[in-house]
Amino acid sequence: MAWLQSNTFHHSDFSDLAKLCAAKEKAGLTIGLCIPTLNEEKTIGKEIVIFKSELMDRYPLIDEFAVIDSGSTDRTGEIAKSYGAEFHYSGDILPSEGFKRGKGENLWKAVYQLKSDIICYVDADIANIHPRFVYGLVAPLIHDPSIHYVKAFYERPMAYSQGLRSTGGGRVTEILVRPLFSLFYPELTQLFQPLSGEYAVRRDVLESIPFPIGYGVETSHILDVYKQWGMGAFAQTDLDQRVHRNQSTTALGKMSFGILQSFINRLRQHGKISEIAEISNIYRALQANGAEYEEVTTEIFEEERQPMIEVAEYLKRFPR
Amino acid sequence: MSSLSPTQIRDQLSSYRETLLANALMLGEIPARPGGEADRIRFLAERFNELFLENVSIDEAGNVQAMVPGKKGDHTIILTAHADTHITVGPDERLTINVTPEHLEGQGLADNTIGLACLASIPELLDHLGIHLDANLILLGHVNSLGTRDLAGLRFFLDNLAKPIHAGLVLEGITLGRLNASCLGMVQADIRCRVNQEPGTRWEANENAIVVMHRIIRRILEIPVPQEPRTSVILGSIYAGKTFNRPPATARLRLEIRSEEPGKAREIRMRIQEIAQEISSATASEIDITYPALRKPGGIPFSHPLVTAARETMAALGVESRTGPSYSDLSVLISHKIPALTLGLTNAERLNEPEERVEIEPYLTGIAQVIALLGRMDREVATYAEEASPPAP
Repeated sequence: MAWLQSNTFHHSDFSDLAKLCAAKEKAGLTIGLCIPTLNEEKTIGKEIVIFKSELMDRYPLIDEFAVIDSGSTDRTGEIAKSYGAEFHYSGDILPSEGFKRGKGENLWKAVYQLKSDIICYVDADIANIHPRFVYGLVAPLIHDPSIHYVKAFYERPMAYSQGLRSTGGGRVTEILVRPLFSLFYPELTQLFQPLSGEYAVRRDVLESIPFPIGYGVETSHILDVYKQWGMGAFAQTDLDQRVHRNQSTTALGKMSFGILQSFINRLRQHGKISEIAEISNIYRALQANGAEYEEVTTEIFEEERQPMIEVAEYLKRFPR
Repeated sequence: MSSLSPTQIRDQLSSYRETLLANALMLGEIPARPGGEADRIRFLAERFNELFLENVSIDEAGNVQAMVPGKKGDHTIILTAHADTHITVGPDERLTINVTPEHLEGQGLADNTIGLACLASIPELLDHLGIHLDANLILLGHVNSLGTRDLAGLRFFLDNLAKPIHAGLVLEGITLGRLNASCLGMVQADIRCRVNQEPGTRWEANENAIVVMHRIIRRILEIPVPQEPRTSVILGSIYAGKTFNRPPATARLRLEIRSEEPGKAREIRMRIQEIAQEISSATASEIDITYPALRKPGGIPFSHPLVTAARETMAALGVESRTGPSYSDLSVLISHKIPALTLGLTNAERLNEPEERVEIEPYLTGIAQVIALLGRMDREVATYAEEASPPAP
């Protein structure tokens, strides 16, 4: 467990932003921030205002940031633009590759859209946003060239209309992902929250790995980075609390289904399992409708985007 | 001092909108009940330290203070905002502030997150705008202001400050156009009544604290209250009893007396005390009165150059000034013979509701008025000492 000690940080380790910016400049790095959105009018304004004020105007930690949207129908775009954010509809980026609906699509398009050496992804639904959500993640990459991928973890309350629960959260991690890691990739169990939506990654890693466009993007990233660069490429930072919308058990079931698909794909690719029956991409749930009981099916297909480095337009934009 | 006009300041502030809003967003999410402002105060101290202000410190009362040194330093101006809010946040709850293009939304913004955020932003804005005052500027975020705390933090600061202060501005979130130059005399009274209920007595026969408190209220309402100078007795809250059919043993009444006339609030207070003693004696009940807040009336006259400067600054920004007496932080400055004003910074609606919101564009105007007025004060502060009227006895 030496990794757990050496590569686990707390955001307060990096709160001296003047010092961090000096280290960034010395390392000659640029940092881009991507906020993927879909109908996030409630919280997007706050994220932009705080990141722009604290990490661009006050301290030049972020060099660029973009809100990449899957087609919001609320005021997300209007609010983002009103605070000077670069706002892109995902379908308008790299149009030759088409548009697929999903958070992973936005993250993948960000690799093309942003120019920086490090890309930090922060979800848009965080009610208690704070600059630590960025500086806590990019700092290990600035300070240690051997680290490539930094994950956030939290003391994780879940927001309810009545208030907060002081424990809980990460249910899919604890019930699905951690048992799977324990079975097949025990070293990865050292990651507190492998599914957290906040992470910072070096470009050379992001451009080299495929991106599932749906629920499996975080899991497959971790497995791909682990396979190619090993545990030493990871770090994780405790960002204290993250307040966000709580998801229903049904939604978590669908998420788990998508993650399992990605996981099984990686198990095959990594030679961890040799024979497995063809798997279905239909998620089946049950519900009672009055006196009737019925099956509800949802197609969840974890389509993947190829590594960005295989896209010709990307190579034109970022020549080798 | 820069020669920027109020409107030029207002126009330039648009470039710093995110900085201003970020301070409000981050401060507003830190709970700060009276006596529980420490996290907000630390945030402010960090902000002031980051800006390399002088004498950044948190005093033993819990106030944060910092100084922007003046080019000459012959005079000192103070800018204050209270750090506490009326919002109580439970251990499993949190304050959330959100922002749209038009509004900041969340509880406690108007009173007084916005005032405190303005205080946090002023030194940075002065620097950005190239405004360097001749006078020293003290920034004070003070604690224990609201309710029964009765401005304890501000009192402590001014009681213990060795240096003279020559002028001051009190920053309040609402309402833009607010211009208070004088204070009402004010007394808050907390009246508690306990009747003697004999053990074992049938409940129908027991003494009833509501009835006794009713007699007190009736007598208070008979006290002559002049309309001019303006005086009022406000019955603010009453508590007694728990159910339909049990005579309560205790009752509590909280009221506030305000008056522009020196000594009037005190006179009414003494009259209420006499009433309480009389009814206590007549009913064999215990009646205790405490006074959480006692403030004297006073202020600077309407013709004072500070008031003129404020009115002209507001007019230049297209803000209609609304003058009137205050009974808050200003009273402490006035009692220390400091010519001072209270200014409101923006407009708000749905006050103290979860959907409370304040307007952003007027907020920028409100901050422009503060910066422009600081410039005027810097030029004119030497004349204020001669103009100020002595505080009321």
